[in-house]
This record gives sequence, C-alpha cells and structure tokens, in this order.
Amino acid sequence: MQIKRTILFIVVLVILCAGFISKDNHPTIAKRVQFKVPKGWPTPVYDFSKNPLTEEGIALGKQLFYDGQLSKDGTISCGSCHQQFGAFNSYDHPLSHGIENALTTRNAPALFNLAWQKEFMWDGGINHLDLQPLAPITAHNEMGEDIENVLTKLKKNKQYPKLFKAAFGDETINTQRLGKALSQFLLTMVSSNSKYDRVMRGEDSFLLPEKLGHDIFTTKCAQCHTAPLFTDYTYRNTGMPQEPYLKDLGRMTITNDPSDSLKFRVPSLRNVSVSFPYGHDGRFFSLINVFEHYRNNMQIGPTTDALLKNKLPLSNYEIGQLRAFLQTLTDSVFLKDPQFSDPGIGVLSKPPLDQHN
Amino acid sequence: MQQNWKIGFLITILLGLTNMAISQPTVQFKMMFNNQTFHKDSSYSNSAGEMVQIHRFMFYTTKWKLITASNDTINLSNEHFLINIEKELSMVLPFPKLANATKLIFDIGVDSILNTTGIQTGILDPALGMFWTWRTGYIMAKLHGVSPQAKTAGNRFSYEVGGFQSPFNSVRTIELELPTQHQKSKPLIIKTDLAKWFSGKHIIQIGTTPNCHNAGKLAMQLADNYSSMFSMAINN
Repeated sequence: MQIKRTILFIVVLVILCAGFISKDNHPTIAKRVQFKVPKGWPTPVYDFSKNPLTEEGIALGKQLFYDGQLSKDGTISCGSCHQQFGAFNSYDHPLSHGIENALTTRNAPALFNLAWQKEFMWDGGINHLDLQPLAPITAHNEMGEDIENVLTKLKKNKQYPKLFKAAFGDETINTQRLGKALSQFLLTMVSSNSKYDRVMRGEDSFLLPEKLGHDIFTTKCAQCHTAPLFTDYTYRNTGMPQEPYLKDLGRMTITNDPSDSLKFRVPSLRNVSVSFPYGHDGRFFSLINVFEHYRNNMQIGPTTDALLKNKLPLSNYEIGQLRAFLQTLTDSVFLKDPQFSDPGIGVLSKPPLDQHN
Repeated sequence: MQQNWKIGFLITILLGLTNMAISQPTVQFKMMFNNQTFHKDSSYSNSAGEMVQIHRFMFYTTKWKLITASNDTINLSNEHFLINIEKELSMVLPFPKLANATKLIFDIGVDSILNTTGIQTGILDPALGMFWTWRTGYIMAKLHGVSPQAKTAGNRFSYEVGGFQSPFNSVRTIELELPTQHQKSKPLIIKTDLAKWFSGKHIIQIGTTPNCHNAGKLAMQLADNYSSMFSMAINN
C-alpha cells in the first residue's frame, strides 16, 4: 500500500513537472555552422564548444556590429571605426574617433582571423574575444555607453528579443549573449584568400619582385610577422619613441612591469596595403614611413627588441621588393565579401582613394 | 484553469524554498567605521585625519567554508556574492551554521578562472559595473566617496581594486575565529570596518592617492588593508 502510494505520488509529480517543459511547442533550433580552418593553419584558440557558431548567431552579431544603438548617442557602431574596405580598420584616421568629437589614443586595428588571437588591444589587456566589444562600448571617448543601457535598448527594441531567441533559444538579453553574438560574427571574418595564399596553395605564382620580396621578408621580417597569420602575437618595442601627448606605455600599462615599457602587439601584415595608417597610434601614414622608421628613425632604448638592436637595415632595392610582396597579402575576396558588409549599405564598390601608398 | 494549477504549484515550491532559507542561520555583515555603526551620509575621520564621506562600497566574496574543532573543512558555498551597502539584502548570506565549527574562512574577490573565460552571467555580469572592460578583470572591491582632502574634481576619491594575476593578485582569504558561545538561532554578525581601507596594513592618504583604477601596487596595498576589516561580533 505504502509503495503504491509512493509510486502514484512520483507519477503525479512527473506529470506535473512535464507540464512546464511542454510549454514551448515550437522550439527554434539554430542552424549550426562549421568553422573552417584554412589548410595548414594552426588550431584556433577560441573555444567554439562554449559558443557554437549558428546562422542565427552570426546574423545577430552582424546586426549588432553595425548598430549605432550600442553607442550613447546612437552615432557610432563597431562598423564606424572598423570598415570593410580597410580590412575593418579606420580609413585614414591615425586615432579612431568616438562620440561627441572625441579622439581615442590608439589606431583602430584591422579585424580578421580573430579565432587565432588570444589577447586583444594593442596592449593585450583583454583576454577573451567575447569581452573585447565591451571596451569600445564603455570607453568615454569611443561609444561612451553603459552596458546596462545597451541591454535596456536592445530589450525595448522590436527585433532584438526575437533575434536573441533565434540565436540562443529564448529572449533573454544579457552581456554574455551580446558578447557571444558579436564573437560569432567576428569569428567568421577569416582572411585567407590573398594572392600569397593562392601561391601557397599552388594555384598562382609570384611575379619576380613579389618572389624576391618574399625571400627578403622571410629573412628580415618573418621572425615577428610569422606566416600564416603574419604575426606571432607577442609584444615588442620596435623603437617608436613615446608620443609625448599620449604618453602610452603599451603592455606595461597591463603588467606594471617596466621591462614591458613601450611594447605593443605585433600586428598581422595581412591586408597591410589597405589598412594604413600604421602603428599603435597611427603615426605612420604609408609603408614608406614604416620602412624609413625601421632603417633610420628607430630610437633604441632599454626595452627595444633584441632583434632590432641595430635597427633593421633595408636598401631602397629591398624596400621596393618588400612592397611588391606585401601587396600579395591583400585579400580582395575578404574586402568585398557581402557576408561581412554593412546590411544598410552593402559593399562599397569603390573604396576611398589611397593617398599614401 | 490549466495555468492556475501551474502557478499554484510553483508558488508552493517557492514558499517551501523561502521557508527553508529563513529557517537557516545566516551570516550578516554589519558596516562600521572604527567603533561606530557606519551610515552612508555621515562624515568620518580616517587615520590620517582626513574627513571622508562614503557613498558606495561593494565587494565580491566567495569560497565560504568552516573549520571544525576536529580540523575538518566543511564547504558552505563556492557561489559568488556581491555585498553592496546600498542593498540591505545583499549583506545577509544564508548558510547553515554548524555548532562545532571554530573558524570561518572566505575569499574577498572573484575566482581567477572566472576572469579568464569570457563573459559571466548573474551576479558576475559585467553590466553590474564591477568589471574592467579596458583590461580584463573583475573589480574585487570598490569604495567611492568624497573628502575635502581629495585634490580632484568634486573632491571625489575612488578606489577600485582588482587584479587576478601574480604578482598583483588582489584576491584575499579571510579567516575568522567563531565565537564559542553562539546561539544557533541568531545570525553570525561580521563587523566590517571601512576605516581599515585607509590604515589596515599600509597608510593610504586620500590627499596623495585619491584614485585606484588598475591592478598593481596600490591595489595590492588596498586589498591588504581591507582584508583586515572583518571581525566577529562577540555578543550576539
């Protein structure tokens, strides 16, 4: 008798509980997208198991990336400073611009191949891609907004609760989902279709100057700008004297270690011909400025990189060949791929004129 | 009709849970400034003789455990809690209190793994403002106020302590002896003396250092200081 009652009680309890589960009759299941690692590339550092790519998640991330609502006054989106024709850097702005005429203290870096990048910002202060967008959103001289306000705006919006539901299963909008959605879009931005890549895949061949440039690059540049990502993601002082107004100490700001003074992240050289100006504060307008810095203008200090203690001797001839090679790193497929472009504008068929290179 | 019994069922379960929580002894923080009960709008004098008014004080705490008389460790909770002087309820933590425990141990700060694995939710959501967005890491504790000695706009001082990596890991573990005669039904009261921020181990003067907004030496000194702000109230 006792047992029968217990069984009955359990059965009733299970049925009652089941009532709550079956509430949503049409659960939406987001369509999984497989992340493709280009042949011969290392394993990505991003943990996709914690944030599996889906069509809906990527679409939501793209919508957010180009939405000015993420800024305080609605004028600045991520896409404002990360423009596709410049490999998602800021066209011709040494320092990127924020709300209310604010200037930031650093050059907006180009964005691609982020799945392989472990730390972000020129000083490497941010340790996870999901967290990265929170920095520009909250910086007073960038988008100037509170995370809480962004979430409130998105929750009030007619579309976003539906888009979050499609991507994550329910309408909850929180910081984690905001970051994950943006990451999903950013992770799809893989640049691996330059002429260099085609040559490496045996589908194309270098012209003579490009080939000579590649050889010079391999001896003189590749130790830090290592293929296939064209960066080793380390922090190095390349002899750029401290800018007296910005007083930027780079990596030392994060580590408090004087041996990290004036060190900045080695940038990738993929798409380098279209992503001017160069340097963490955009002080170099053209590749010629950069070469001139390395061969003549470097200031050797206590933390200057060991590889550059004698500067980087380059002849005019070598510079010519190097420029030819660096052009082969431009990925025109990536720069014009509509899946990354502003949904309101589309691909700009004619990028602005390159006045410098 | 179908909705009604569902709601009824939920309410019953919720009531049951609440009852359980209420019937358990709790740990409660009591804010002090030196020997006085702390009030948000009052002025106090710190050890350097500077007048201070504090309007914001928050800190994360986790890894609560008890040590028994026989030296066994009993884990109470690895959950994170955010104590906030502006939220009365946040200052009460529901734990079962075991009679033969002699020591209470807890951390001030956020576990390092949660500083390195992307964006967290709930009480650890960066939207709560206890997070540095420009360099990854939780603000383990913050103290904001005004002092005529602060040579800053609005005479404001602002201490935000963080850093989870050696050599500037600002997480601190607190050990408190439990009172021997404690009535099981009453909450355990932990006196939290805000004056210790300025004088716990190092003298911090608002006049010379009104701000802390990064991991580093100052954050470490402030963390050392406030790690000595807790003590068990003896007569409760």
